[in-house]
Amino acid sequence: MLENKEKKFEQLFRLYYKELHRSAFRYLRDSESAEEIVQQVFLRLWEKNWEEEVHTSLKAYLYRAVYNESMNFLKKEQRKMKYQSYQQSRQEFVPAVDQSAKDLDQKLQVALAKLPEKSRTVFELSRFQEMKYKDIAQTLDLSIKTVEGHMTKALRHLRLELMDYLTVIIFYIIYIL
Amino acid sequence: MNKELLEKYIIGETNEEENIRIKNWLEQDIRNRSEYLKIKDMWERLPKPLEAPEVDVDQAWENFKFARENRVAGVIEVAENKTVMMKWNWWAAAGVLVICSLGFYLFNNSYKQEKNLFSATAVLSDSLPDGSQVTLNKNSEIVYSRTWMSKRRNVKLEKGEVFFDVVKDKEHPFVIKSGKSQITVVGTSFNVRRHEGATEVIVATGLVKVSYSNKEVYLHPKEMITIQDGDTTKVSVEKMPDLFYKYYVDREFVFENTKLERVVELLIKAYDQKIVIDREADKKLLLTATFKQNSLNQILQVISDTFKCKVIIKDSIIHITR
Repeated sequence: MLENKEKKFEQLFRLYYKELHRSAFRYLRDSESAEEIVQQVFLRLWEKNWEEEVHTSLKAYLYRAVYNESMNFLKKEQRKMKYQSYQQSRQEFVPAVDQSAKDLDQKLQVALAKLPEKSRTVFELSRFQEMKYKDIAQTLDLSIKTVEGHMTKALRHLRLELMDYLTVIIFYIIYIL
Repeated sequence: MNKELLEKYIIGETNEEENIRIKNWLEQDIRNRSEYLKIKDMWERLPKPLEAPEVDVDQAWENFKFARENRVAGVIEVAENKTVMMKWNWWAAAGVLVICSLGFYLFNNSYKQEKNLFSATAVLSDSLPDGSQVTLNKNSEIVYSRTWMSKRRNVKLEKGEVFFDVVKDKEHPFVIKSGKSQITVVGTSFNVRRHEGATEVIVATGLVKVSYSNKEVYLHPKEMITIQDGDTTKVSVEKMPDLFYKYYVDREFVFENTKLERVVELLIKAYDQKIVIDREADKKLLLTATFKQNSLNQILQVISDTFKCKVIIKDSIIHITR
């Protein structure tokens, strides 16, 4: 019985580890921290008597746990970086790409910062976590309709903020080509 | 076609029916297509999801198992910590208890508990917490409580003889218990003596109230009352002819035509020395002299000079002789 439980758990672990790690990595932009977070989530699950307690989709539970753990982690980090703004600290993790992409990333961060928190979170989950509305809804404990509303709001906002900038870049690229 | 639906389509959240609608719309006009591409381009130009580095799932599983074991051990460790904490708590509790007890003891000793004041072979002078002066004759003892901030200043005469010079404080009567009598004063000086089961009070200055078995007597200066513990009906108030009772307080003898017999009696008491007047006739000699802080030798010298007699010591007894 116990052996069976262990086997089942290992299967789960192997099935979800990679994508959960990727998810955590995308929040934290640090592979080691992501590993820690995911391990933490699995340890909690192990202690939870998960076979009986986690009735809802296990996958949804895991993603949600990774999201929550990561946010807590970031909050702690934020507290650590008292003199550096969170956004700046995030910038440091951005892999070096070409200048325009970096500029755009900065523009996007500024634009996102203007959004209400929920809209921003929904957008980030959709864009950077490649999550479906359904998964976002489960992770944030919202209805799919609400998620869709937030996403629409976020996209409209970004369109207004970034479209001019993007158009300029497109023309610029066409011009030099 | 609204932009929101196109975005939804690009993100991949549209349903089948919406997909068909959009496809038809795109094929209708080249400008539709260009508008769509513009939105798609924006979406695609937005920073992309980060590609996570490869992870070794086998290693992760091993790490997980290791962490799980340590976590179980960690739980035990926490439990141990708890017992250590418990011990600490007990020590802390014990410490607090000791400190409290000590504090209580000290507090008690200095304020609450009774304090004993006693003399042995020498006269002892001391002051009480309220500033009153007490002089204890040899072999005397008083007990007083330190809670004198309360209504009464209570003193108990255990044995011997004590002269009180009480500081005036109308709100806090000074009360002395001696045997079955109680002496209450406000601010006076007086002598209290316990002797052979009786209490003897002599007033020096002021008014003194003496209570015994539901009776009260007010004494004035130079008045003396003697109350027997065994029989409180035999109470006598007398006039004190002299101040000799105070000799141990002032170390002062004022003799005015005092019979030598009486002088020797007082000296015996004061100096704890056996003195004998050998000739019967000499006992009636009258002495007038004042001795202040004099030694027995000096006093005897004056006596011998005055009466032209001899003072000899034989078998540690002083003889006044011819």
